[in-house]
Amino acid sequence: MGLVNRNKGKSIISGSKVILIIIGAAFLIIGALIGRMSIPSSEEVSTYIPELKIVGDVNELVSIHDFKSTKEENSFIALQELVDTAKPVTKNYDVLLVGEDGLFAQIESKNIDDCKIRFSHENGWQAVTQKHPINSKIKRIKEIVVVSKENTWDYGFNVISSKENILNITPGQFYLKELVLYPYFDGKSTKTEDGRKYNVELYKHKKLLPIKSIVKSNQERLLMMGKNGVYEIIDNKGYLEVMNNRINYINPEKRKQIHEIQGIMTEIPSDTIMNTYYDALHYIENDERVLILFLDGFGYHQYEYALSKGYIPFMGGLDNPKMAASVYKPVTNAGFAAMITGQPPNINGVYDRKYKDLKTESIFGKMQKMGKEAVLVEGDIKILNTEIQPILNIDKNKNGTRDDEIFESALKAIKNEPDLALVHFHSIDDMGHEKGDFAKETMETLKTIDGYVKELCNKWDGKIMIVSDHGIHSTAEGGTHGVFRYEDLIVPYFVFEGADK
Amino acid sequence: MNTLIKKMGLVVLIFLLVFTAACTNKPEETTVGNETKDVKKIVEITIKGLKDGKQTISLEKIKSFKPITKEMESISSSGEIKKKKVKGTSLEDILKLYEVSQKNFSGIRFIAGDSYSIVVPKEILDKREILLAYEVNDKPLDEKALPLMSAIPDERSMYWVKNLVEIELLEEEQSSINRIEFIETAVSDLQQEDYTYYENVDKAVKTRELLKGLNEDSDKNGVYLKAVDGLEKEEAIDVFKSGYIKITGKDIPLFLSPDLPKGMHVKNILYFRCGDTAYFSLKQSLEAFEKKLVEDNEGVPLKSFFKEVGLVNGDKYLCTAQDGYEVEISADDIEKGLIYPRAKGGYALMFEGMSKNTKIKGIHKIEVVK
Repeated sequence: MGLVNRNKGKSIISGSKVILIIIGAAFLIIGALIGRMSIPSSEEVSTYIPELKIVGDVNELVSIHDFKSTKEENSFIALQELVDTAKPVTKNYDVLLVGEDGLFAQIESKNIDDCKIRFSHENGWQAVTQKHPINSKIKRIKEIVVVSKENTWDYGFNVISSKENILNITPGQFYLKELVLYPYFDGKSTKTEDGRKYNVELYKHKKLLPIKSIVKSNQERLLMMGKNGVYEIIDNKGYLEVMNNRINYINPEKRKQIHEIQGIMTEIPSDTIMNTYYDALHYIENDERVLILFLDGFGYHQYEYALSKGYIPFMGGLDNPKMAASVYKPVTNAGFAAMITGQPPNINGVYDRKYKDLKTESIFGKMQKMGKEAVLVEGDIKILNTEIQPILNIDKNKNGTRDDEIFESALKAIKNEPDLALVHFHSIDDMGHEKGDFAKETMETLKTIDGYVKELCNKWDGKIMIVSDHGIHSTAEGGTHGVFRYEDLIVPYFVFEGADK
Repeated sequence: MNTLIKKMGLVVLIFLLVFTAACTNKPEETTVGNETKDVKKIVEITIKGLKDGKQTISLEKIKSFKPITKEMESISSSGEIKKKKVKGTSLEDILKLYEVSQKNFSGIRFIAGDSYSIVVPKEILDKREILLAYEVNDKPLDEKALPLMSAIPDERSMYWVKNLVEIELLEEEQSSINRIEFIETAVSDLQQEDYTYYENVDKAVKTRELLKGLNEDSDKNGVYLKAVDGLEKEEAIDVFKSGYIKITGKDIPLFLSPDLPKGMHVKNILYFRCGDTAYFSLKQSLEAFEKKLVEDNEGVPLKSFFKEVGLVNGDKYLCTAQDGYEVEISADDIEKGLIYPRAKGGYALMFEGMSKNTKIKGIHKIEVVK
């Protein structure tokens, strides 16, 4: 019995051991599975790979973590392949391999095929070269900077005046400038323990380029425009900072930061195309009728050229127009919206050609509220969604331009004596794109428009404004605009009395 | 058998403990306010540091304010910028309920349900519009962020406090305004220049001249302008000093400059504030404030000016006329004061029920007696 009992006891014990083992195994398996899900494995922890970005003059920011090599070269990555992924802005560039300690090597793009990048625990990301001098083998690389060797005004940050383009810096070239180290106040946190306050003030060292160092003019007031449509008068006490592939404005004292700025203008013109709104409103409030002649793509430099060559006998006979600054981006939708709202793109919501809807009230909305009549004479498409419907005009006679139809339509519209008429001519811009800003064909077109302007002015009793949305500059293919340069941004602005008294 | 069960129980317990530890070893949340306490039950926010002590405001009330939707950028510790579309209520709108402004405080602490807290310093309070957000990127806050999240554009993400349950207003500063000047009187002693304003030639004074008497500290901050139609504007001191105040003709007082876009001009200024001084237009004050009739004189109660700019610093105030005549009044006398236009031109300050020699013709300024 005792034996049986013992055996029975043993069988119970061995049975319980099995259960224990099964429970233990189950826990281990589940634990391992969950651990796998929630905790990085020891291998993952030990193979932490630091961030490495391709920045500077590139169209796309590429992180090493996003990079997928198409070539199998063990643990090496061809630098050329890495840089190509980020799509350099220009073909002619250098590459800076920047180490964590600030040491960097500059490699010419023509010799970049000699350079590879690899990762090791000891040296982090490291350059591996065969033919370059040994000091090209930068260890613990934190970023790869593409530095354009071309300056086109079309890319980067520009310093201009109202009469010339002065300086172009690309984000990549920024790295090679003399920068100052600025302790930028980041924030302050406080914790109270046992009635005692523990304060922490946080600062970050920023490498900044003083605006004074690039704006040689003694003028303290500058006009800054940004990609997000900001139009701001600033002083010369601020700084520029590069962040990846864009340039930001910082004024630490005023705690002001504006991202992705396009440029700074010195010798700011006294007017802006946004004044069209305020001036028109002023006259209308004083019961004067207003005619706005909107000559698309007519830069101040073209006005001066056409005047000197005798292409604009009517406009040339008026008092000299004022120079007026357009807004960034100097394209039709943004310029037109700024004109009729009195606000820059970051407020009126029309940044470039893709935008049609206004976030602020336009002069047409004001007119409606005042119970006054307004007409908008346009080409064949509606440029912006305003409070009134435009009178559209197609090229009925197929002569390649809608401006003759717009002119006839405007003549008809002003016969009804509206309080406000805005007439938008397009062909100076069309021909400027096709042939260039000073091309004979562009000037001949301007001459035709000058004739239309004369006739309309002679028939208008009230105030007249002639304004443009933007200018244009020549390219190898003809002309273009949309860049922070004086040819695109400075336009003539006339305000005078109509002739039909 | 019992021993065996105990042993098995012990083993299971050990496994469970190990297990629990393993499961809770998750990566830390990268955002602040990482754990939430019964967020669904939180229906009100506490505001501490008010004159009347602690107050609570319901979420319903907070959401009843006109919502503000903004594209905002927050900056992570690595300097990366994250864009977010934030919808919420302006903190200033809420503080207005208690007749205070975020600019009156040396700091505001945002406290999350898990006790995380951060003090937003004065430098930020002076410059940024703070939203108490209830939607991000067109979606309601996720459960961990409920009931509200602070959102401050262009600032570190550490200030974007999720699961916000308490707001502490720190060390309310005394109003920085120590003096009120009246524009119409102040400009009469200054050189007036012809200023062509459209078809008219009006008179204007340089703002630089008007601000000449202010101390150097005034240059550290911008100028705040408020128009009679409610328009509020901050202008950089350099820009303001480059301009003029037009004092005759239409839309006066009008801040303008031939070099500034007309969108930067401010018509019909009620007052502007620079350093410790507020400059009021009496012409526009008569339009903006409720008028009162005292002894046949219709004017604006003196307390309206004090209330508008929060001039509360003094026990005594010195009122000075253009000709230098001075009257010292106590803080209690403010209630009795009335500024009114005189039939002979200019403005006078009188005190109801007080002796005639307290009447000040050509009132120029009122300042705290220190």
